[in-house]
Amino acid sequence: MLNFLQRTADVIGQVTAAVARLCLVGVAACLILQVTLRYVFNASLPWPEEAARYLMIWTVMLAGSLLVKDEQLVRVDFFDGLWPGRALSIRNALFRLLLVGLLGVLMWKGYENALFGQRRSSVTLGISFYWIYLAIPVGAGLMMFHMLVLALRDLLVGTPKSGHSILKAEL
Amino acid sequence: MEQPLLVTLGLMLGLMLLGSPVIFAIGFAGLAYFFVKPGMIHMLDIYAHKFFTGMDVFIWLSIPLFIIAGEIMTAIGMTDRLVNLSRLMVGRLRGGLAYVNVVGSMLFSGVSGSALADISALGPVEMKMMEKDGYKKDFAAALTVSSAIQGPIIPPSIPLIMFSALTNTSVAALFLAGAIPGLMLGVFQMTVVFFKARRHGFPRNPIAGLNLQVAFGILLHAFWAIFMPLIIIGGIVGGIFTATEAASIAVAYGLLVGVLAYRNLTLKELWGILDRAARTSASVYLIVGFATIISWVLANERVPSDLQALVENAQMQPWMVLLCLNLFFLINGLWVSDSVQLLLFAPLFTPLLATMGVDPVHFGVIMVVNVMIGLITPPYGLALYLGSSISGVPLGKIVKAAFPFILSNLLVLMLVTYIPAISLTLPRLFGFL
Repeated sequence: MLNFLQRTADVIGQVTAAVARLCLVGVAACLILQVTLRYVFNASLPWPEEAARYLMIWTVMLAGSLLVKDEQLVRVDFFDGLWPGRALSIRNALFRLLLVGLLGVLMWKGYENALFGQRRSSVTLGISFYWIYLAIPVGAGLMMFHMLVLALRDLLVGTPKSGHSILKAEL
Repeated sequence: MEQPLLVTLGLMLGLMLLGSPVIFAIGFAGLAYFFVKPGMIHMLDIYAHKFFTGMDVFIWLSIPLFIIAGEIMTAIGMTDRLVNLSRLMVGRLRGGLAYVNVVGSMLFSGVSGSALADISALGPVEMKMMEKDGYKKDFAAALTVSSAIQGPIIPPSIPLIMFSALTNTSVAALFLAGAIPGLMLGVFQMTVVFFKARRHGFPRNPIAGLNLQVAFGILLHAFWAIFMPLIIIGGIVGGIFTATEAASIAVAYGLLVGVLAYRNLTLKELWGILDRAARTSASVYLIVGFATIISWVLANERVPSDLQALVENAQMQPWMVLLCLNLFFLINGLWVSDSVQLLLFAPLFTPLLATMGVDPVHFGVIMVVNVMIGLITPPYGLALYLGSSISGVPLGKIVKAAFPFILSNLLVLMLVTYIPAISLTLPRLFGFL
């Protein structure tokens, strides 16, 4: 069961990573296009700045789920040594369940915002705000899934010893 | 303090100390406010909305772009060229590689904006070089972490861009204001190196077979790496382009140099760079989103005006407030990174100090110098911790070896805090104040 979930998480992670990178390429491309137009051709388009901003939110929400999955978030872990091993695993699982709650709210309210945004379109791109706001519930949902898999792992097999969080973290 | 506010701040600190990821401790504390404050539970959509709008700000886009640019520069070997250039400049001196470490960090400031990223990317290389030359491991690690903190202060600087966005202060003025304090940190550290080198007889590290031709070659090799920050700083200070535009130019520049000049940038490398850059930006952006909620909570609880009243009732002079803040930021460096401090505290304290006559540009520099030094506050500063993890030197030994550097950095902090002219002269000369 856990194995299956972890393999599913890996596959989801790979797809997410690819899409996040493409979104980031989009951000850079839009902004470089805009700068080139402005300084080389002395003209500019209305939409690239807006597109870059919204693509970035998608990048962040998708890549954020990878940070959760690969446990790359910085923690204050100086005191971890004081916890007995089993208690540490249970603590981590409890944290994760707490954060599942947080992400649940973000997903639920984020989706409400997206539905509400359906009626409006963005100023220059002309696409519905639904697709823009959707980044929040999708990202929060992915984070929630990875968080649940990790919580289950902590409870069933315990948190593996992985050294300081700051070494793995993307800074 | 009102109970909901107390719960929010208490939860944030408590969750961090218990070992929750910093990002989620901030997020959870913000969420808890909605449940504790009477009547707020029906306004939960504000939570998701603030989270989105906090991140959806044009100037934040400069952060991922500068991160990509920095990754590209490292991948195409600009950092090695800068190390060579530093060796050419200061390698001949007694304690050559120790100076190279400091000068290198100053030159890298154009390539990267994060001290912690510098330590993990360059630290291993610098420490290995120094160890081979006979330096003690703890000294090498201590110097590496203390010199890394000046990079983000010397422009172009991501923390200064963040401060500017959070407080509506001019980026150009902040860049100019940060230049001298950043250089001072480096010069003071080199002074410490000078005395240490004489006392312990550190080795020299001249470049073998140096003649004019070799020197010219090294200079030429480093040219593209030196030229980039000049364009960025010149463009921003000259009012030609915005921070975000400058960052996109940096990315385009890195790509062009990698493909046309150095010809060593592969698609596979680029794919890896994108992955790291997406993850790093996500960790900054998520903090931005959750910190925006906390800022909103603080404003809703009228913390800014309460603070103002507190300071007025206590009849505190500006220097006392600054001293308290100096200590506050140093201590916070034990738990959180520089960007977390900027996001949470820059919007809170800048208006307060402005009413007391402290120029926001001056305060921006104080704060950035302060939160960067906070990264090496003993006993547990984040950068010390990272340096210790990378080098394998126990934390206590690094702290001991870093002590003179920490003192020299603190001296610079005091000078920058209490002599506004150090920061404000350059922006004044350029007509920004």
